[in-house]
Amino acid sequence: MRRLILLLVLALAPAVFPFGMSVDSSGLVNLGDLEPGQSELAGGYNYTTDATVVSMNVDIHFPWALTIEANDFVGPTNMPLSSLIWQVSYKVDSIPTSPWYNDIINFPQYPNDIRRPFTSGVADSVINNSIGKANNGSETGTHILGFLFHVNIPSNQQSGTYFTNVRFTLTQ
Amino acid sequence: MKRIVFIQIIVFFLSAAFGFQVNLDPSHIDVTMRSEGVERRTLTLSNSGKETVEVKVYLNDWTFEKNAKSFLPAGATTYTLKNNAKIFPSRFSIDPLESKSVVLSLTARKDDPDGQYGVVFFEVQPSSKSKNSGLSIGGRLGTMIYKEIEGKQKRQLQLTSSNIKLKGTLLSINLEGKNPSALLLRPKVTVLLTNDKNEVLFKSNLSSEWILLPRSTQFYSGSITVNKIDTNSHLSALITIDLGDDELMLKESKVILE
Repeated sequence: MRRLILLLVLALAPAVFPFGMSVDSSGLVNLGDLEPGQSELAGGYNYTTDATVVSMNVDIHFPWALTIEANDFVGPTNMPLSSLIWQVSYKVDSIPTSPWYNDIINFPQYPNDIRRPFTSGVADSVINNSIGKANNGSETGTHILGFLFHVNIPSNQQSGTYFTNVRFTLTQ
Repeated sequence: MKRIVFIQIIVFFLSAAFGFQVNLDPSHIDVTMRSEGVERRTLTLSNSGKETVEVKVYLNDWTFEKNAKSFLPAGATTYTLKNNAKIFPSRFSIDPLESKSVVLSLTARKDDPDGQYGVVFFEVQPSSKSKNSGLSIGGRLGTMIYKEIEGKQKRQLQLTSSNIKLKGTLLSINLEGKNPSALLLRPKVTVLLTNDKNEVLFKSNLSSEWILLPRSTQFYSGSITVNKIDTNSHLSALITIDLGDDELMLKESKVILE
């Protein structure tokens, strides 16, 4: 007798799991024309209006980590990925009106250096919370980070349009 | 004449092109299976966002160094799941407020190592992309996979160094361990402080994560705040390391005062 094996992409009602991530931004950021040697903060200067916001829900019983990485620029010629710089701030998730904090004094799990260039082929640690619930800065397991992106164009860069992809990775 | 570098760094979100909100279940899978067996698990991704997203599902290896995981293409490590894990489907799209599941099939072959480990990533990209977009932003969630064969090796840890320091009320524990086996170790560390009268002054579990992948050496660094202790007494620390499977290690060490 033939057995029918169903392999299955199940379409289910949406469920809320304790492990998730959202990425969001309220703005359109366009650097337009830049001259060689010019620097711009691609994501704007204001975390409240310009940040790419990454919100994470994690199971508070397990360590978790967030990394950021980017591909090499694709364009008419090479442009070093280190031309692209990321910086991060955070909000207190339990306070809806929380400002963006740049200091990390009370949140030791956040990096001391919050502004770094991308390195080609290397995922940079944004947060490496290896210490579990007690010190992860949130009893709810929700963490909200804002990212701004800054570009320094090398002075001898060839004209053209350049592209790259930024990727966040969350694991527990 | 001035050269102009035309750099378009455009990020569209919400009504324009991009933004996603996804959740994954589970965040990790522990499977202990029989040799030459097959196990299947279901992993479910839900889209709580406002737009359809494209999802790519794939396997990676991972390592643990300097207290952080890093990810490598499948097949890069000796304990890879590359030849023993199949994922179906590997690409799909999810509409808003919908969930979809994939099936992970794990096999255990006769000559496989006792432990094989990996991570299944669900990588999310927007389904609509602007032609002008110069910077696209994506994200991925990973389910950590721990697959082991039942009844083979015991977990072993060779403690190669230990250093316990007390500075004020901060107790720091630094250990180095070597894992000679093919099984991953996730030791739980407990510290107990005694004085020269053998009175117990303090006892606590340490919450720092310590992972030793197969045949690796890894440092452990943990600290904990203790109550004020009379440092005129000779202090000793008894470190208990729980390897799981009822395997315990004990290590007594002098406490260095700073």
